[in-house]
Amino acid sequence: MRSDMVQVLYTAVVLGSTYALMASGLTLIWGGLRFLNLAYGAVFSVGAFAAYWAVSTWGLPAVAALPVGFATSAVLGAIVHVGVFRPLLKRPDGQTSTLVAGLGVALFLQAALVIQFSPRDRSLPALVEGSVHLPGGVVASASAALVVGAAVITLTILGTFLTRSRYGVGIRALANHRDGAELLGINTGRLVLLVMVLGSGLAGLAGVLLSSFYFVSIGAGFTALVKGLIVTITGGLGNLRGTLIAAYLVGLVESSVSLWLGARWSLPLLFAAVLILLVARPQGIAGRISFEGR
Amino acid sequence: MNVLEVSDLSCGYGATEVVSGVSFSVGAGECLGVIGPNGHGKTTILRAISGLVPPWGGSIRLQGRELRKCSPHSIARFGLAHVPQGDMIFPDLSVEDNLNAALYGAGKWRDRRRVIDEVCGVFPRLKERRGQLSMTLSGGEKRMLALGRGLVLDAQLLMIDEPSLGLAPRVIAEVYERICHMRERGLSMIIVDESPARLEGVADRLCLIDAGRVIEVGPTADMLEHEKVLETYLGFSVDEEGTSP
Ligand SMILES: Nc1ncnc2c1ncn2[C@@H]1O[C@H](COP(=O)(O)OP(=O)(O)OP(=O)(O)O)[C@@H](O)[C@H]1O
Ligand SMILES: [Mg+2]
Repeated sequence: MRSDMVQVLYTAVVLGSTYALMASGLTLIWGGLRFLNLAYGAVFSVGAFAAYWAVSTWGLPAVAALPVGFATSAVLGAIVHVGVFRPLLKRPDGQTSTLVAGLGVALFLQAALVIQFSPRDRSLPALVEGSVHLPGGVVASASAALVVGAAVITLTILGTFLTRSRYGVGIRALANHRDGAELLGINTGRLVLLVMVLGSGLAGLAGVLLSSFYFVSIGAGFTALVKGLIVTITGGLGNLRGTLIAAYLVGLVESSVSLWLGARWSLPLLFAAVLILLVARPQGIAGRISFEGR
Repeated sequence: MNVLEVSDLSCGYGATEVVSGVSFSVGAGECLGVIGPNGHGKTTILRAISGLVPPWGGSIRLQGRELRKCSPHSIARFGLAHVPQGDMIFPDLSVEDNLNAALYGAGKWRDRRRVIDEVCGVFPRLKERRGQLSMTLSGGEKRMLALGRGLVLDAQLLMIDEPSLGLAPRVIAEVYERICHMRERGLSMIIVDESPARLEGVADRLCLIDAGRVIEVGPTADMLEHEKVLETYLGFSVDEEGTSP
């Protein structure tokens, strides 16, 4: 294989994995609750900053950043849900008001981060050191390999949880028909909280992983939200398999465009490709247009 | 003791009262048929009992326990199974996962293999389609699945809303045959059907609802001959003194 092909594929896999990580929590929340959580990006950043703070203040080992990021974001997700989203979702216009409220929460959290940490970028110590040699002369950093591995593991666990476990069946039932689930004795309120906690925790986990790969920056949360949205919408909102395929496709488009046309073309062409796909297939790659009542 | 005791129940949507002062009861092992014309509150009564619509007044007791302020999932766990109008199956889930969801609610997740095998014994159609995505089921199969989920709940009282809705006559017969099968297990039931004739031989008593009120309750055979039932369905009064249109 030609080495630039290998380079493109390598970049596609790494980018795709980061996108899959960014999108996993967003997909879970959309899939389970049918609402778009625009606070997601800020929750992502808070997880990363909390991990940075804990590791640098307490001198914890770098791997401790992962549980700290997950836990902080999970707790934050619970607070935002109970304090903001849950009361709003009870109202008839819940879908729209949560959208706006999510944006409000995001702006608030971002401002709080700026006040607390200043807008300067920070760096987390690398979770792993060294590099891996790939065929075709490509040298992969160990952090990149970690991101790929983490994406594969996280999404496998999430997929297994949703399809095989008791709670997973409950969450999918609730996503299809909330009243129907209640009639079967499923405490949907508790499951909704679980979805918010897990989805937010995944955002924090992704925040830490990607920050150890790039930087801990306040803007990273916004990028995560935008890329996460592109991937989840293209994949078919709420569909895990579609999200995974979309993440790697987006990675492939971006990496090949930046190699052959230059990096400045990657975002415009990516959006063009997504638009064409959505016009042709409004339900996304694997999704279907939802038809059932709530 | 009666399994279900509804007294003076009223409820509605927004400011519109749809059910006004309804009282009836279901005895142990009894099957009560609820009949009445379209849009007169039959579904709303069931939804109030299972907690989907908040009751405005009155009381609902399941084996002596007041249900009025309870959430639907706790009511289901107290032993009330509601097979709703329109089935409310989960289209993205397989037949088996639809049944599994009911087991989750019933707290019998560990026993799922055994319980599902048992339910498939009552509904052989479900057994053949266990792994199939339930959105691809036919209307009759969806109804069987909804009934199967009701059976999984292993309830004190099973409420079935319009089991014949939207089905071909041959499939209706099959559905009612399955319901009789469930009935032989000693389940107490409420069956809503707009056609009284279909409840003949299934229900012990019939309860006639009109404009959100109970007009008459009585043994099925008597009710089928009852002038008020005829009046409600045929739209005229048999009674000479009545104000017939
Ligand atoms: N979600 C709702 N919001 C507002 N009004 C409703 C709602 N559901 C039902 N209604 C109204 O309540 C009344 C009773 O409806 P209900 O569904 O209980 O009747 P039904 O006897 O079950 O009719 P059918 O035989 O057609 O199923 C109707 O006038 C209906 O328009
Ligand atoms: Mg009805």
